[in-house]
Amino acid sequence: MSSMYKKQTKKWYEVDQPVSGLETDLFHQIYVQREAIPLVFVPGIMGSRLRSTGTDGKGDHYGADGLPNLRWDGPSNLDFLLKHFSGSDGRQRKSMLVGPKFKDDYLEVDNQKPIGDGFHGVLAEYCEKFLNPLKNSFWGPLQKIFEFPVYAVGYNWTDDAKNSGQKLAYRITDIICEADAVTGFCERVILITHSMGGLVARWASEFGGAKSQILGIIHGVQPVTGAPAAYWRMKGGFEAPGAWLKGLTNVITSNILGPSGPTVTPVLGNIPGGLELLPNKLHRTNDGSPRWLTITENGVLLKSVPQANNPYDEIYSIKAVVRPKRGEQPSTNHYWGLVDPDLLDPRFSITWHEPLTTNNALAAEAPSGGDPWAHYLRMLGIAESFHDDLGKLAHPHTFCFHGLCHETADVIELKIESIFLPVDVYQQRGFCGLFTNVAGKPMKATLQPPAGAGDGTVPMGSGNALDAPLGSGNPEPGDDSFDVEHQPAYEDAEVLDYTRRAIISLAKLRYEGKRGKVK
Amino acid sequence: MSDLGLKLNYAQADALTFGNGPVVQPAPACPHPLLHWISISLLILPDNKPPSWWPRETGSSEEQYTAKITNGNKAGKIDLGGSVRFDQIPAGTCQFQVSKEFYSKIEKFFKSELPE
Repeated sequence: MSSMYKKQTKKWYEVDQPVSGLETDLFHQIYVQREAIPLVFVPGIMGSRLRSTGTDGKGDHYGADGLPNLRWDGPSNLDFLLKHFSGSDGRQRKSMLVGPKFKDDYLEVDNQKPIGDGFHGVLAEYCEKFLNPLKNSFWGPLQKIFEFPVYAVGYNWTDDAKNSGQKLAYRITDIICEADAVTGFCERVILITHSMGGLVARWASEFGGAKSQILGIIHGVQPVTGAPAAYWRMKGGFEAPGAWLKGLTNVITSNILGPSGPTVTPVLGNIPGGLELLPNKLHRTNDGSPRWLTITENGVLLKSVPQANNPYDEIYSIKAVVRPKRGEQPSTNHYWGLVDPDLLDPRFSITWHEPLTTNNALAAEAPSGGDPWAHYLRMLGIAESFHDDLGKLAHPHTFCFHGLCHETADVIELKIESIFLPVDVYQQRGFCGLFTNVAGKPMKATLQPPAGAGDGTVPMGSGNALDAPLGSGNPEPGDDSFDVEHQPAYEDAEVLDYTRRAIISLAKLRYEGKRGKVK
Repeated sequence: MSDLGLKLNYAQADALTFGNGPVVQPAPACPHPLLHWISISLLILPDNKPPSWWPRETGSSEEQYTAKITNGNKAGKIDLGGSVRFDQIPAGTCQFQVSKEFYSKIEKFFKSELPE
């Protein structure tokens, strides 16, 4: 049987080639095969919804351990956060997110089966305020040749970003296969990252084998060389800047994330993912100094570290002993070390006594079977290895934006003062290290509020550490900065527009690769 | 062969008989050399079983073309349905070419979105 229809397909870049041999008395259909360029969003730390591995991820379903199957969610699930995190002590938080001892398979992303677009695995806020608007972006005549399906790839942010990066690389391959099955033509994705997602994406690109499958990466508010805020929060809890309603909102957020050292350290100090946000050996303050931790007295700088560009040796692996030894004069306790060993495993805490909860599973947890400090050093070693390997490696087609105008931990200051009244070492959103001076006088060193330029979490000097030098010919829209706060950075209209233009710029790169330079 | 004296090919005959084929204009076969036609469409290749969250399909746009039809050279715009048709032409083979304007619209878009 003959057909009145004759079909042929042309790839988008060969549409203007002549088509010969078209016979009369037939309907000739020339199909333009568009290329799918999936836009793959990689969220920041705490931006992926996590569940206990192998469970249904329901917040109101409980496992044999007495804990909910869902272990982490965003503000859209406020009831869950208030119930399981706000007001919870370090032990409860550690049980939810770390377990007795960190294992990379303790938690997994709460993805649907099949994963689909991956939106279920990331916080709903990303979907509502960034990913859905991105899906509805105007691509103009680019739609004749490209399709931009939007995906999200969550990851277990407690785990080493090396593992998360490798998994992202595998997922990129799957996404390309899926998009190729739909359009018949998909070779590369564009990654869009938020905060820690930038580290994960760079690992996927540089070490995970995904580089050739990535057209380019758009990084937002990435702690390229780390963030002193991670130090601040392990010492003093999550900050709650602002006044009135904003301040109140931030207090609620702080209470959920951990309002004090003893609520934050048991989590961040026991997971490689958390430690990988600390300033690394390449970190510089906004003023370009490698010494981001300072101790001052009466305006005089007494100590600034790291002196040899190695915060691991000089800060992180120094045990923080936050009170002086009785009778020692002057005391030699390094209250400024990152981690107080007593906080790492709250079940065995000697300085932070919390009433036992009625949760039998928590009380019955098996001992971790090792020295918490030794375990911490192992986690720290994972973080150091990650930082050393990744350095400032980046995909050749990289766009970055960072945030400004929000007080950010840049140079951390511990300010020494005399003690006139008893003070709490671990306060809500604060920390005081205690010691004895040469005269035998009790002194305190108070962690000062963040005061540097940045997005409230990542200081400018880290957020712009991958920016192309001025005049280097970086294509439009180049690297940029916006008045945005860290967590909601992608909710900003200017950022959405910047991201869209960066996507168009990468699409142009692809276009020019096939059609030649746009004149 | 129909009673109306029109000669249909099998596909057309199927369509008329069973109503399940493409709706086409019967192509009358006639000894007259000019009673031939050609239809050419430029279409976006439909996605193959796209997931529900996949971008929506876009329609065709009016693209410019040049064509070497059996009765001479032509130029114009395809219609919003993506097609152009030439009737009353001699039998033979034709050539069709989408104008470079297809790409210049895209390049203009790049320039407007990414000014140097």
